[in-house]
Amino acid sequence: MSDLLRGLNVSVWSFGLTFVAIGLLVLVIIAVDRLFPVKPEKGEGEETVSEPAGELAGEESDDAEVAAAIAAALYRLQEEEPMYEELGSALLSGPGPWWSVRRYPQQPMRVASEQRRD
Amino acid sequence: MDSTEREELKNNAKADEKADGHQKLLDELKQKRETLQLGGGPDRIKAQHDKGKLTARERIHRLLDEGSFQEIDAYMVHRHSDFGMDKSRPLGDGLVAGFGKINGRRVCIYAQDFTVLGGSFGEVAGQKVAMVMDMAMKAGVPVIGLNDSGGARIQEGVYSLAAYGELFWRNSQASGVVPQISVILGPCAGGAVYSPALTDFVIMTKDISNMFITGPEVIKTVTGEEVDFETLGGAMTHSSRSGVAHLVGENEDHTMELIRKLLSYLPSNNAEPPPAIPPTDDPARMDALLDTLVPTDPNLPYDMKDVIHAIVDRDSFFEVQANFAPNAVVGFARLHGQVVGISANQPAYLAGVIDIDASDKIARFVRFCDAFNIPIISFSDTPGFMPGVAQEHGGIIRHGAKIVYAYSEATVPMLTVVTRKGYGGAYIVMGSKHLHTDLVFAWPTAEIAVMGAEGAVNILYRKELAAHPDPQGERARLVAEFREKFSNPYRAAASGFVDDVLIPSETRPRLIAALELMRDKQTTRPPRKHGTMPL
Repeated sequence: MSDLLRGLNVSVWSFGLTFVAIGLLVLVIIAVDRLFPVKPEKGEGEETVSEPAGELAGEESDDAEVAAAIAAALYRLQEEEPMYEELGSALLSGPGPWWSVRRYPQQPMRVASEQRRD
Repeated sequence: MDSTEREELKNNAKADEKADGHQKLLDELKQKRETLQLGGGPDRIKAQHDKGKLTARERIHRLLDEGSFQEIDAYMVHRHSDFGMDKSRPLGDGLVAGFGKINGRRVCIYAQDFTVLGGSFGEVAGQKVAMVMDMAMKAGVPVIGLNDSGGARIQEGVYSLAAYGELFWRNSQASGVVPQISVILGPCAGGAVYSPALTDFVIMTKDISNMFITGPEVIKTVTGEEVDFETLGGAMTHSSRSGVAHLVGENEDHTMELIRKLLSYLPSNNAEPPPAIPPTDDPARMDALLDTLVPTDPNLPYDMKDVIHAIVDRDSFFEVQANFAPNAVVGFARLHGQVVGISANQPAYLAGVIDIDASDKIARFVRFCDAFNIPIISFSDTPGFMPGVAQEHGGIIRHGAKIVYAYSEATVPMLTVVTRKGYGGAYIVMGSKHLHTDLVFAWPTAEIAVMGAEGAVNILYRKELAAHPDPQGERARLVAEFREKFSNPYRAAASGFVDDVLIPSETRPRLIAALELMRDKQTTRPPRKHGTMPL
């Protein structure tokens, strides 16, 4: 057998084994999914139940309007730069040491009544 | 009865006698206190009530927190005997002085008692006010004076004038040290008016208060003019025409409410920051109304107060001198709970032009804010200074210079928003970057130029327009060209005279962020005794 045929033989077996392994893995995933199905979330279930089969045309249009309004608001929010959450927090703590350290000293005030007493 | 019992009886008798002696002293004191409470007596109190006015003590009790008033120097009496004064030496001498609390904050207070000798101001009243003002300056608390007096006590002669002089001197010493509030609740005439005039805020009450140097009778004698008390010096006259009164109460209760509200924005002295409250509004709130509030047509007006209300914390704007020079708006507000002073032009009145009165109004307010550590936020939209012979001869140059001086010497955080017109010298004086304002913002509607487009074209192209076959069409083209080139904020922003051009609705969060940065701002000024402000 020439080197070329040997190489092709090895490649075919390798590919075959890889695909078989992948197939087995898929079968395992399907089996696990069957054995442990994903439970629906509470909210989703209630929503399905609460929605009546026959919606009135008017209500549908109201919902559409609300949805459009929400979409517009979301779009506007996306357009705006997100606001820094800590905005104004430094103001709440009041003036810092820098505010007082360089302030002019208060002039001692000798009031006239004191002078009289002296 | 043995000796022990006799001794016991003797001791009991002594104890009773001692108790009686103390009781007598206490009764005497109580009696004096009751006399003090009656002021000038029940008849005078009734007469005061009949005029729709309260007595000095009633006023103090209504203004201060319940039970907080502590009276001092209540037993002082005058020493004069001329003109029958020796027959009447009322305790306290017609002035109630002391200290107490307003909304839990300490204040010193005095009130002239009209029921005692007409509230006339004599030597003792002067000494009492001097003492209470000295205490206020030592303690670093605001002083409130409730004025209701017939004026100087003529019988005491020069002693009465000396008392006024001491009061004026103290008003000047306390200026910029502790806030001083004068409340006019009756007549305030002659030299007496200079004490309120020296204080930071004058609050009058409709119908019952008036202030004047000379009364209607003297005026009629000297100049022949006939005028009534209300027109001459009533609350509305001084709040709208002279600018002497900063606030006007509908009645005494409303006046007390105004005092309490005003004090809620003021620090107790010049060494402490103004009182902050926990924020009640979202710092990131953006009012979409602002984006379209300013008309793009520079000739259309809008109300600057709408701008202010939309930017500051909800319901926090407290305007002062609302009726005087309505082409300018000044007042206190809160941004994220912090007190700020608002100084603005009002395009809804005379297009926001700056005249003599507006200059005085803005300059005085800016100086007050600077003295008491209140950051200044300016909203600028002015086409310039008011033209006219009356304004020029009235000293618009001197008065306008006051605004420049006030802004230039201020060391508190200063922020400016140019909402629309910023033309010529008026743009410079309204807290521009050139006066070292910390941060200057502009809205896209801002037009910062030497003058409006129409005026500029008329001057620059006068000859060309005169020679043009279609001057109107050419003028319109040139105006449009000028506007596009110069009437926008980007020219100023390109030179760094505007720090940022804002979407109007984002002004609130941007001002809060700037205020946050400048919280502890410190600047130095060259040493000097004091400047020579163009008064």
